[in-house]
Amino acid sequence: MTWRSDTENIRLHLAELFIEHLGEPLSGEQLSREIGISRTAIWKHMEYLTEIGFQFDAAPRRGYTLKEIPDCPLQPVVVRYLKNSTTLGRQVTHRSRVHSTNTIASELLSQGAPHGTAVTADEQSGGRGRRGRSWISPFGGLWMSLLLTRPLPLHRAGEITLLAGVATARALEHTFGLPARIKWPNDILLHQKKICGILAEIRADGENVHSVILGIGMNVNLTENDILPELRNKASSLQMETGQRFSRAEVMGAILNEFNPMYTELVENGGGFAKVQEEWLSLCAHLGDWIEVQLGTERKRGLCLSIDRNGVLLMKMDNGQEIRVPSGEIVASETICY
Amino acid sequence: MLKIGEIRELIRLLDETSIHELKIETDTMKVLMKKADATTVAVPASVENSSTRSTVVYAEPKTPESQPVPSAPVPVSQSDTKPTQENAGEQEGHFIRSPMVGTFYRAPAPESPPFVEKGSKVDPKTVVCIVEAMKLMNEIEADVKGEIIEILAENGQLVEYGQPLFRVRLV
Repeated sequence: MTWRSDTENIRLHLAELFIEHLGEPLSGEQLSREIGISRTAIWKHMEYLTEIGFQFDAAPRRGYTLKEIPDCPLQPVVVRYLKNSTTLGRQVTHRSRVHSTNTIASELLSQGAPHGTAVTADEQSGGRGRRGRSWISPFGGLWMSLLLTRPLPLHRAGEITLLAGVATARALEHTFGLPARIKWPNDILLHQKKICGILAEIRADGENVHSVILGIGMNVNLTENDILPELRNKASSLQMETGQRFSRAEVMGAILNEFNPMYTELVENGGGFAKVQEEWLSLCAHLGDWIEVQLGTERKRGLCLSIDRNGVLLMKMDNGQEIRVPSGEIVASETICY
Repeated sequence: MLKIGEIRELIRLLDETSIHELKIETDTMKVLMKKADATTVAVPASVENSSTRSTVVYAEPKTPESQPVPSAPVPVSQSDTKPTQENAGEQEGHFIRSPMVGTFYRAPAPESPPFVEKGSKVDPKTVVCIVEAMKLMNEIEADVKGEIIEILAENGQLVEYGQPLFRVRLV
């Protein structure tokens, strides 16, 4: 696999060995023999694992013991949380600090990374939101991009981001018991505050989409200091809302487990968003509310009625006229502060 | 030839519009689709925008008959400034059109310079803009070699499927 460096392969191998032998000591000699590199090289790579959150106990002559599974979204950790039927996210490339995971995913795509590859990072310096807004991505969040290369017609591609929204909300609800809600089209809210953003970049050749890079950024273990003061009334994190820490790898696994069958249904059977439209509506944070939408260059105020099976927002204006909003952003609502 | 999946998709798309009848004819095939209940069909305001494909597509909206027409949702972009599409036919050059309904962005970020300006030379792989819908960013490539001679949509504007975005003098 040329898209992955030797160093990365060695680190993954080392992490796998420790996870496989959780709670058991592994000696430098054993590791050196197993991986086929010098003991000095082993120490160097173990230092890296320590930096990204692996905690080792050292005992003289016996070796090193991994005490617990780290929360880092490194491939051998993430795959522990994947269901057998989940094929996405079996290959994960983890970086400590990147500009944006979407950019890395795009590079890996051109280097031959396969469908379903995920890129994760501890920190992003140039995470992006819509309209080029920056998305603050400090340590503690789940910053991931998923590479999807099954062919898809362009007019169905918008369903991917909608499905990702439903999958994420469902993962938080089913796996962690959190009452996540969706703000159209796919922001994830917890207690009316945004905790997750989803944005995809596609490459299309006319009507045929040949690759989608799906970026999901979730404020998992961010603390109040990580959130800009002017955003604290509208943005939060899982930890801030629940007082608990979560494993980023487990959150990622849970999202992939929910998203995988929805994506398969879309690309193989054409099922797509229509199949989860009802669920989207039941998770919607502003259904039946007065909302204000930024539509291109103008703003419209109206009652949020529904969304159709393409995700188009249906609104009823003051004058009774119903309008369809195929693209835009909700900038105000009765129940959510923005 | 259309594949079964594509026909199914067309039926689905047709269902969601207020178009009553769709006829596609190429050298090798003919497809005619008609809706069963013609009386509830409203005149779509955007039909002129959709007749831009290479295949021949006839959209024949039936005028509503005597009974009242339910107020069909109107695409909001119609209130936006109209692109210079009506006289587009007479003008020289090639049009780069929007492949989807969405928001048109001329630059990757608000503070960044636009992908292209009037006078920019483009080749088929040059990214000229982004069209975004459902948080899906589609970087549109020029697909042709030439020079941008007119920019036909405003940054941040909602654009329709097939709407001309740029006029290009081919070289």
